[in-house]
Amino acid sequence: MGIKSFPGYAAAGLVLAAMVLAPFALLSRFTGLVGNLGLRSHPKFTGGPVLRILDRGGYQVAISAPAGPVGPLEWGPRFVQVSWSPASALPGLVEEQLDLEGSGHPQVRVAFQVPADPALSLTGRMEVLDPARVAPATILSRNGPELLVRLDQRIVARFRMN
Amino acid sequence: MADVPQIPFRSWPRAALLALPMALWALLMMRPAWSGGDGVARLTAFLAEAFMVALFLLMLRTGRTQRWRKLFFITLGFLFPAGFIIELVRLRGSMSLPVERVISGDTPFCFMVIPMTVVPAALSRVLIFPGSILPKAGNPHAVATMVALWLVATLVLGKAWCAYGCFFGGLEEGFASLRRRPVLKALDPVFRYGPWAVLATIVLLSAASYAPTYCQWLCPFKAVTEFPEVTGGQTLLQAVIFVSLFLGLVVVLPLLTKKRTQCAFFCPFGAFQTLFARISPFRIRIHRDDCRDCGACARACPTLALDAGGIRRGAPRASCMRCGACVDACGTGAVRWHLAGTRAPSERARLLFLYAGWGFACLFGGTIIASSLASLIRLFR
Repeated sequence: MGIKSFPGYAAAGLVLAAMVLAPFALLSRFTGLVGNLGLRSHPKFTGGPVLRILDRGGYQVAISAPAGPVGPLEWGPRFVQVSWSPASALPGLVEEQLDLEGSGHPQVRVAFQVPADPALSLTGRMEVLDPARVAPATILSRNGPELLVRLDQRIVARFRMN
Repeated sequence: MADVPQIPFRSWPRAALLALPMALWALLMMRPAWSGGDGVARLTAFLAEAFMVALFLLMLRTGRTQRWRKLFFITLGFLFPAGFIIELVRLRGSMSLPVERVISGDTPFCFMVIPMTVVPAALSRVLIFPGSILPKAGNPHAVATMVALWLVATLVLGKAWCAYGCFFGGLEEGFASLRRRPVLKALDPVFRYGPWAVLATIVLLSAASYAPTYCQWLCPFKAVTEFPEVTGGQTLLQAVIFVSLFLGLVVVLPLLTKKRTQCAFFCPFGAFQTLFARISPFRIRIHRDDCRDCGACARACPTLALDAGGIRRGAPRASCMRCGACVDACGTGAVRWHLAGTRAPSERARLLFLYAGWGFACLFGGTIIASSLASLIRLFR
């Protein structure tokens, strides 16, 4: 092995070192590095950060910030996500007037049954009180644009905004 | 032709001695299953790592790479989806991805998404995937974990990820191995630019739409992993596309061509990984003095990375995944393993590469084989 070959063998040594260190240090170090990049999930998936929490005695209602397109060329509807938790503490019928944007006036009235069996699909009714702010709709369901689903101990609804 | 290297058959004791470090490494890889797993997990960890060490030993004994690597890769390719589907059905009762999992951020992150996430993450610090950033109880395959794994794989393997890490490639390799001879022999080389075209398209579309376009519309492997729950016309169309691409590119074309057609003509992640091919110092070189231009190496290449032009140039294209098929196919020893910047003999370069590449295969593929086997055993127990 001549001096000219040293960089090649050194590179091979580094590759081997990276492989050996991977399960003991590199993977956890890299996971931490990526975790610290300050990335957040797109709010269209997770619903965005919670802005206000309303205490209803036995349960809470969390209202998230309006979520919608983030990218400069992105398209898609804006929505506000609302979640009720814990589901086990909810009454059999939930009826709420919700101020989705924190303007001081309710924009929607919602009502849905909470079945005792968590496997059962949820269906709800909604009435738009402020058609200028909330898109017209009457039904909340698992597959609809106005979403209503159960996530373990949370019941989550999404309302499309204008 | 006097200095043409012979295929280095080794004696069993010498091969065993050289395989000893890999055996010790494999023992280390079994440690999590032995310390925290049940009887099934321990058994499958032992079987998987013993399998990996046995293949490594055979590589050293015979001097051949592709035959033994292919055995591992096909095993990985077929066991991964089996184990994944069993776990999905056990946890959710179906392969489809329900909206609840999307909102919860519980979707396992797949390395295929990485190229699409770069632009939106750089512009808005937003991740365009419904998974959690850090691992959590419902989702150990979080974004940070999988990106870290990809970083390590890229450092260790570079483009060789496609031959020693990517479980999806094993499926194609399996179907490509079923026939003795190809039915379709003349493949237009222009299709080799397909992965670059797909990569450019999905990166641009994802940057514009802030959505993982490839996962939503084009990934053939959704057919054997998870796909959006069919709730309407759009999701039905998506499912039809996934299944069609899978059948066409992963099953039928590999059967007809004996090539990994999805990798060669379509896979955007393969193209993305080619960008990092030069990170690895390990290469394949063709020594013109010993070459008879018989074309056996080009015919053996599963991804069309080697052609007549490459043979004349003395090197395959950057998309070469270091599977070793061309080296094994060469009857004159003209195609050799090479360590960049050195005159290392082919076998030394191969050995150094295999210690790293096969070590990663034990770490990643070996544990996947073990966990998938465990899922299968538990299914029938």
